[in-house]
Amino acid sequence: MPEEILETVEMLGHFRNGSVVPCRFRWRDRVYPITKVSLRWESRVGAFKLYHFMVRTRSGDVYEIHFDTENLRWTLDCVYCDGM
Amino acid sequence: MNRRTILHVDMDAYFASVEVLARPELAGRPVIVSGDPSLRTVVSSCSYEAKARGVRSGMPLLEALRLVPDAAVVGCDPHKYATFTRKILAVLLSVTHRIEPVSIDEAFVDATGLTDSPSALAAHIQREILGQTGLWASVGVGPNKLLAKMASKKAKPRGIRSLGPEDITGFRVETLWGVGPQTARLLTGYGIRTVGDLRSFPRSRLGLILGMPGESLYFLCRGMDPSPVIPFYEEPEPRTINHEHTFERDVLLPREYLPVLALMAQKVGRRARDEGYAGALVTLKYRLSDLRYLSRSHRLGDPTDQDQVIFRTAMELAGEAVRSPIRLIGVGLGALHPASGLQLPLFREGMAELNRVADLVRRKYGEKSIASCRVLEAIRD
Repeated sequence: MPEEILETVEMLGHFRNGSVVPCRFRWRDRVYPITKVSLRWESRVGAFKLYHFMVRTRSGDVYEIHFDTENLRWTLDCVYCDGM
Repeated sequence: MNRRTILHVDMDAYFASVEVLARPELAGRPVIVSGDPSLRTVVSSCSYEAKARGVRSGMPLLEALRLVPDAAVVGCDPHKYATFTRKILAVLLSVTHRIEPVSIDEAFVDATGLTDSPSALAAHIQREILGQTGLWASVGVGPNKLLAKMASKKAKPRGIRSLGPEDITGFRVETLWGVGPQTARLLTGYGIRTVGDLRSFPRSRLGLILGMPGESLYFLCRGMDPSPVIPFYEEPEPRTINHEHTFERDVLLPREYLPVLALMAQKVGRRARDEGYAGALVTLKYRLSDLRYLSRSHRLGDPTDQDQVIFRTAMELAGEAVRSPIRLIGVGLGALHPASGLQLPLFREGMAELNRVADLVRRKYGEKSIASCRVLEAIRD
């Protein structure tokens, strides 16, 4: 089972052809370079879209993050450590 | 009449496959997707590795984990799957607009009159879905929906299969629509195990044993199914609007289940208003600790689409019905009519206005943004 985090993170990414590509994020003063975006999907809270990403970092851990278009904030939802 | 060509596109272990896409390290492992991470829920979907060890959709998670203790259990995320479903429907729509989505992971395609051969079309659809989503679909081809669906089941996983009426004589009777375990047991008592056995059974006796369903089985076992592919834009009107919730532990006291019941009533009312319906039949559905489903209904004097009326009625039903611990509770609104033209009793106008404004707030800020005090207790994280 994943470990729920629900903390705001700083994200460095770029927008290409109308979609956002997350590249690296800072969480608890540590930078995590994203090596692969394995899945992206959308959800909605009221009128606002949320863009979700499942990303893998260099350590092999998998993180679920989302971008909230209401407050333009990135949130780290949970982490799947190796073997979890 | 032209011979019809129907395709049934069915995603292979859909939810589990999406989860494997998200976490490729799960590939090759038994994966179980469940409604929520608690052990009281049921299996929503599972990978073929889990299926091979006896796990089935709808099985209690605890039972599944007894069969496959090393399975990776993943929580179900409908938004994730819906994003993929939209991509899959886009692929189907690029072939024809005559598609009927049956659920989040399967759809019928009416390919009658298209120039490509059915097998080429099936291969094209399978390839395109794989290219657009990274997911495998199995495709069944037949002259009607029944045979196309039976074919896709035979094709699984990652296959394409075509079936005609003469190909199904050796299939077990349970593979036909409308033959559940109980009917299958009944038919076995008459020595009927396969579709071929059923074909040789006299039509009049079939009707005597099963009534009206026996008449329809007479045609289905001959591979005959005239039901049309109903395009998504001609969806039939809903018969009921339902919402239900499984508790983390069994509950008995009203203070334990009423907040959830209020939330279910709110969701039912909201959907009824969004879709423009009002219903005159409120049904309370509940499941006891021993897994038995029970329900009670009450017919209202006037149809309603108001949360408060639905909740009050369901609450009264629950007060009478719930006498032992329950694990699930749900509310349904039936006997639906278009709400336009219904005259609201004068004293309910204020309530309708309140719900209308609450709907506006929820549409902008989400379902949990505004709620009655009672519902607040249920949605508190």
